[in-house]
Amino acid sequence: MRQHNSSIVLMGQVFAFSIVLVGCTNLDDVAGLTKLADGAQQALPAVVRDIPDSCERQNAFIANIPNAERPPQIEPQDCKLYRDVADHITKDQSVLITYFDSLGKLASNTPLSYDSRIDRNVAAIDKLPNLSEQTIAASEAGQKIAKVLSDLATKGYRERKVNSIVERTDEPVQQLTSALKSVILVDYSGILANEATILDVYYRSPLEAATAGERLTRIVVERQYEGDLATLRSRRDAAVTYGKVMDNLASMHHKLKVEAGQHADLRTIATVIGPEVAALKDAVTQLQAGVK
Amino acid sequence: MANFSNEQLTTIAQQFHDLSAMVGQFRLDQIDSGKPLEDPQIVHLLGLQLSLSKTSSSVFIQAAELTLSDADGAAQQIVSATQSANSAISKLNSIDKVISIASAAALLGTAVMTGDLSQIGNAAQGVLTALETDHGMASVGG
Repeated sequence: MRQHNSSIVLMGQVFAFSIVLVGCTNLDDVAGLTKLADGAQQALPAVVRDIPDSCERQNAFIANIPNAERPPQIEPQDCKLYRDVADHITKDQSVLITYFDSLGKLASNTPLSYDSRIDRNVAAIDKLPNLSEQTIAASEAGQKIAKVLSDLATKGYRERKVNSIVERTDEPVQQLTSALKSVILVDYSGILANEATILDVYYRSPLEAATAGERLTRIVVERQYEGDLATLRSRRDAAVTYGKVMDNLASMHHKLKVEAGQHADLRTIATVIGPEVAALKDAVTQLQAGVK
Repeated sequence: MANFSNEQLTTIAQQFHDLSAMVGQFRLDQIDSGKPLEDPQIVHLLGLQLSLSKTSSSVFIQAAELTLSDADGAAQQIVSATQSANSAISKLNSIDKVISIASAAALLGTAVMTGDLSQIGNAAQGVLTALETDHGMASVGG
């Protein structure tokens, strides 16, 4: 009889523990959003950092072309403008990553904190016509998401608020991912295309002018050229992967909004967004490998 | 009023890219034939190559925002002129002629970014004129 009672107590304890476990289910447990955000936090900024870095590399190539061989319109560029844009983009991108990280923790007891010091001053980037428009769009959308993040941290929104939070942020998330994708896939790719032209001129002109007697030098320079071209190709590939990451983030968030709108439980939501998260993890891993 | 379609922007960007590459290859061939790197015409060709390349890489950023009364007509003029220029340069040996055609194409690139139909039309005509005034070596639409 005592043994029978012990079994009932044990079963009761297991049941109670199971309830606690089910109660703790959150998007992060099932979908691994925090781990995804960690990977994104390492991989995405490296792509953005290369915007001013490409400018610096182009200037270095231009500076090494002798004056007599250089047309007057080829002047070193002011890379500070590119650095300002990259700084803005990095902050907006960071808001996006923090948001997805927070989303994963909504139903858990993990404390949420957010320091909303997003730079609202877009006047500084107004001087770069090519990059300014999408950067300003990203900044505006980033500010809306930052406001939600501040509310999450200060007002203690939790699981029951997932629906309203996702509803409130879907539009700026779509805008921000689209603007970030455009900055990298169109603007940054254009900057890399200019770098490719400068690289081509820098190496191929003197190689063409070199005489047959300079064979060993040619071999060394050609190998160096191939190396620089391979690095440039990997940067172009990284830009394309970055675009995929933004597409997947936008798509995942949209599905999240649809499911949350239908009041699905978190485990169902996590199952629905699972493939998107898996695709995102793959893309982020690919990006991490490509931007070394 | 309409914008250039993505397909039109891609084609225009590709045309200017091809022109830049064509001018670049022509320049390298001239260097290979013995022209020194600091020869003023070689330097001029380099400036044109880079200008055309910059137009190509800027098309999606700047021209995408333009609103034109006849985007289709403008795109057709741009593509027709750049295709003709590409075709002509691939057959030319005269450095003066290539500079003349590439200069006209570079002006067309500048005109494209203004979104002004009359400027685009005039600049496209300028490319065709540069081809026609060839010393019997290139043919329009060739």
